[in-house]
Amino acid sequence: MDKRPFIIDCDPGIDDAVAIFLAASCDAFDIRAITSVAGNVDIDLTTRNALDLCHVVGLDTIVARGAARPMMVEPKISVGAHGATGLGTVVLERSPQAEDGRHAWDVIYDEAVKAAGELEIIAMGPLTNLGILLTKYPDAPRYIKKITIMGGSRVYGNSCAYGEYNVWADPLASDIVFRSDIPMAMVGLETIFRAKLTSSDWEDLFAEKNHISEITREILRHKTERGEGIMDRITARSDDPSPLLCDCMTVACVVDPSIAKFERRYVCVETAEGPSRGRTIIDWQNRSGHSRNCEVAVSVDRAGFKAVMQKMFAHYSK
Amino acid sequence: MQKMPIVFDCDPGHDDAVALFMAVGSERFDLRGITCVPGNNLLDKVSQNALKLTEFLGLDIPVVAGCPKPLAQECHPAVSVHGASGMEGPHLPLPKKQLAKVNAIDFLAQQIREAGGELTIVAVGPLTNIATLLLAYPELKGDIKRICIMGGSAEGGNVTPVAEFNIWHDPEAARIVFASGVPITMCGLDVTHRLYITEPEVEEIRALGRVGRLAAELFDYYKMYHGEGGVHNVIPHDAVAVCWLLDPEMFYTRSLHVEVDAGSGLSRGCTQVFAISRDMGDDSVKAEVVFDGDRDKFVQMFKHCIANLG
Repeated sequence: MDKRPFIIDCDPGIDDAVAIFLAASCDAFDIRAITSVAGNVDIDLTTRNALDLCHVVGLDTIVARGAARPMMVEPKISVGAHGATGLGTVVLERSPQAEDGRHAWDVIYDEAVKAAGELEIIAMGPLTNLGILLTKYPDAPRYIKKITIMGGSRVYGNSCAYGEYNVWADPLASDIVFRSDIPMAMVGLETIFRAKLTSSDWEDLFAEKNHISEITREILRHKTERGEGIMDRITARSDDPSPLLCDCMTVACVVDPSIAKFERRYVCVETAEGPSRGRTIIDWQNRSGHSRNCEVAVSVDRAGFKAVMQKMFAHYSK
Repeated sequence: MQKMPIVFDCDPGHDDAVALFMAVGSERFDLRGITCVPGNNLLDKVSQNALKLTEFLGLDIPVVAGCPKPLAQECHPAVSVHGASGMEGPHLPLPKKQLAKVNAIDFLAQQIREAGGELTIVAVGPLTNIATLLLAYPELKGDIKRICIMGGSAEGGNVTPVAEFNIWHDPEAARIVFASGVPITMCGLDVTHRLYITEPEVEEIRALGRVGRLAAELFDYYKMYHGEGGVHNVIPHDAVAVCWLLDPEMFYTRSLHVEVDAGSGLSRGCTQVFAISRDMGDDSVKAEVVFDGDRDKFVQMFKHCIANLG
């Protein structure tokens, strides 16, 4: 079986971390690079974390530094949400690997050309690197098979930056990506809320004891102790303070598409300043007349997601 | 005297053309290359025009096509001003030369590195290429000596009541450039409208030689857009940016805050020029904003440069 070439663009970040663990465990993925972007924490930290996370899972790949700030707006980092280092209280062994000397957008383009149109991208942070890629290389869309983003929201989530954070943090870059004609899939906040694993689900998963499950447990402790937002729990119809892993669920939908239902719609981004900035506007009723540019995840099966996570932890016991 | 290394980023364009003549004729610049951006017309048209001009001038320098469209919107070619070809009027033969097969942004970065901190970017079209350069090579910001821009306006626009064409064509790019911290000179409509060339002066230019003839023919077409009541002065906006670099002392320039409106309201594309920064704090970015200049001296210098080219 031919492996699928991927690049993961991310801002580790607690849930990026577990998403990287998941992606690295998938035999069908040939991860050509991890590219970092500023988002959850600053670019020095996200790049450092990306290197160290690759090291801890034994993922041998390029790690390239991306954008330190959004294309046009001022950066807004969620202070404290991911701890001082971006990984909660966890301190990872320092990777001996150095960053690739190239910018993230140059690595993505080089790999896309090399993969001759087969490269897929999973983007789990603000889309700045992809915005710069598409602006610097107008022919890049020819070489990219698909972009799956963790971003946006089906209905609400506008009033708080988190959840739509990735799109809100760089609306110009997000707009450029959605208008790029590259096939897109979007796993948004509300869909993720509904498939959130419970505390008891996590206890089941952590029964598989290994290095990665221990690190995951420790990373997630920071999220749980801090507490999730009110809207998360209302949508999940649960007061269970179990951690919400948006990026991880996004990768799971790529690892096993059978766990998710997608519907193709026209999606655009509100770039205007104001309370709706960063909103992903989804034309559910197909009234706009625009072509449907995005597969929007409308539901994820919780049991299916749990099974994917179970398989991941089992992989690391080997 | 050491020649100033420059790259000319443009969308030829009648006034881009005569600005190029002025730059080359001054013999004060080391012109490392020309990068093209859509604005006055689409990228393929302005790139062809740039090739035609370099061949006419006998210049052996790279001409590189840049970004094909603005960051966040579609192109709006100024056909009513510059005509269907972007440089309507005189006939120039199809170029034998071809565009350099290199990424324009990489080309600009290479020129910055090779000039060791001395490169000035003369940007007389929309700022799409320049913004992309600053986004793709943030580490080179400190190595750009200056970006000398024809664009913007403190006092009023041309394409809209508040916006000048270059900024209006790509407000996001302009906002990124003006916020970047790179030293910027803004030669906007405030100064360019004051540095016009009269009809008799165009006739003097026509008599200066081969290049003077071409400049005058460009003006013959271009003046149709300017002037009222039978008086057709020509405003060669882009040449002002070149002239500022040649002799900043003949201009009235002030260091001011410039913030570009890249929003979706009526003021989209406006360069907001102000002295006292409100929320931004006084250490925020300033640009050299040019308000006025010595018109007679400008015309004299323009003629001198054209005459040098023969």
